[in-house]
Amino acid sequence: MIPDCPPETRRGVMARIARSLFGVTAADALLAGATHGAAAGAPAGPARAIVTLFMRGAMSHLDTFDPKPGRPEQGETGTVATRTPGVAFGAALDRLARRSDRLAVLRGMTTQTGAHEQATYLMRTAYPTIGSIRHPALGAWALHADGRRGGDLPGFVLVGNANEHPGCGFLDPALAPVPVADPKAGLENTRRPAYLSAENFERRLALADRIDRDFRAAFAGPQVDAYDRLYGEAVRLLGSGELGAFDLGREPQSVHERYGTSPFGRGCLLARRLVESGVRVVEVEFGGWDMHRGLFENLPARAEILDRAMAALLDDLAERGLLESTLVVLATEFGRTPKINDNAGRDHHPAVFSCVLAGAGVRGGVVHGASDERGFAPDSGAVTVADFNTTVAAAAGLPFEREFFAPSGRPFKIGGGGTPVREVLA
Amino acid sequence: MNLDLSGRKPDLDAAREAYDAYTDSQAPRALRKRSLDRFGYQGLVLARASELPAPLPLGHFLRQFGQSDRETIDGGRTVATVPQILAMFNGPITHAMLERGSAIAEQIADKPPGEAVDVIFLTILSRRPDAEDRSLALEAIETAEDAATGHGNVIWALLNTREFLFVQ
Repeated sequence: MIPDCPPETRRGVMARIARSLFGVTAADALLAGATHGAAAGAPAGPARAIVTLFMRGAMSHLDTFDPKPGRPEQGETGTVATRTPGVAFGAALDRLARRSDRLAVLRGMTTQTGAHEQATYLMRTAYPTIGSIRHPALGAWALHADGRRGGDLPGFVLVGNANEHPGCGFLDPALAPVPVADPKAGLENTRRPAYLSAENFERRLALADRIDRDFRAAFAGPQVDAYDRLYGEAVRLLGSGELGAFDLGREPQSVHERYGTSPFGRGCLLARRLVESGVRVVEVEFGGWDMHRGLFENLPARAEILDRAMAALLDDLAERGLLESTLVVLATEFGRTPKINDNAGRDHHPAVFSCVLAGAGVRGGVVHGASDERGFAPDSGAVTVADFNTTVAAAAGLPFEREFFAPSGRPFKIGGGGTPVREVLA
Repeated sequence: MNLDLSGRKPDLDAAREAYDAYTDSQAPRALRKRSLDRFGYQGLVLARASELPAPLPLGHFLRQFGQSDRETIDGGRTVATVPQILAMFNGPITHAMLERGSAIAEQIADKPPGEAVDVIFLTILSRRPDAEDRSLALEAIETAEDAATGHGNVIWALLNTREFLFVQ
């Protein structure tokens, strides 16, 4: 679990305690054995890390990545030419337009539902919501199939609102995303109170373990076991010297300004720091796109936050040579209606929308698929949510053709058994 | 408020009493919240979840443990996360229990170890310690530098059991 850890360090002691109290080592060895099977059919995708920017509430495709200039459906949103000939974005995406040579835009995205909760779940897991099982999010799949990268840091971090996130689904609870509610505050409660010595902390842990033994034996089950696994994770994290990755205070003011001081901008900056430290998957959530009214007043400011933060993220990753090993995914729930409603807004529109890929494993300067002249339905290059997730999995080198079995014995595939979009893959 | 009180001597005490009675009985949420600030501890209001405004901000103890964001029906969750455990380890809500001034710390401050252990178990786990629990807890109290540290260790340990987290 923690390789080459000198036993005399506090960290080593913590690790030994985690092992002995929580059985962390045994479980991990089992998992490792289970997951390092043959990766049949998987291309050698170069993305070692994935940063997903998830637009909650459904981002309008017409006003961002798929404008229809000159059409009445376009409303008040202007356009800006990109570096890719013949391709324009919504006017607020000025910075991304200048970086379109890095982007693969999928304009023929189509989904099955126009309900937020179900569409969010589908985009994150590639499977529709059903009552009998909870599917893992892509980040948990990546860790399950391919292991972690960072030493003691979690493999999967979720920045923003964690409610409704499918998390690790039916996979090992230790693969669940670690939620960071506020990127400015980072990961809280990681410092032992000043009065508490390491020895006393260990005494407390040992006492808790002894007293709890009967209960854990009597009520063993997935929920109680999940906490057992995470107690091990938490102890491991507390002893880690890498927690500084969560501290945005270590970034100079000029960097903060490039990302923007919005929570989303900070989230993207945190994502960059975490990827740099070896975290495998970071998801940053950005809400507020559900613009049923006043879209033309509200969208420019929101799109500008996205534009600034995502452009800074791409620049920073490229500057550090990390864009060659990091896949950046911009995803949302569904599109919004071409018809502008009576409240100057747009309603839910699952028939067509846009998503964007950039970085490792992906071709830049590409637009795949197109919506029709009104932006109502895909005209060419239709891509389902499963296809999209499979494309992400392919770019990240995950074994998307392999069947994995849930504890109930049912088979599932990473990416939901879709077909990868070869046109956007490098 | 611009009440014209000229020519009348306002009975401020009576007014304050009436105001308090009013806020206690049917105060709107904002006023109730202000009165809850009396129970503040390190920036947190220690009161029943149902007395607090909802949804609480992201990152609040209750949100960490899955309180609904109230954006969709049934939006709460019961999923285990690492930050929950970090909050139980090091967070202010755990430490409020260990310090003088908390109901439990006051109850056990001057009690002999045997009684203190009973109070701690009944308060946190709603049961008496069995023989093994008792000897472990007594040992923890007797080997600590002082009684308060020993009590703190036992309280902390019980708060960090799965028995405490789960409703049986």
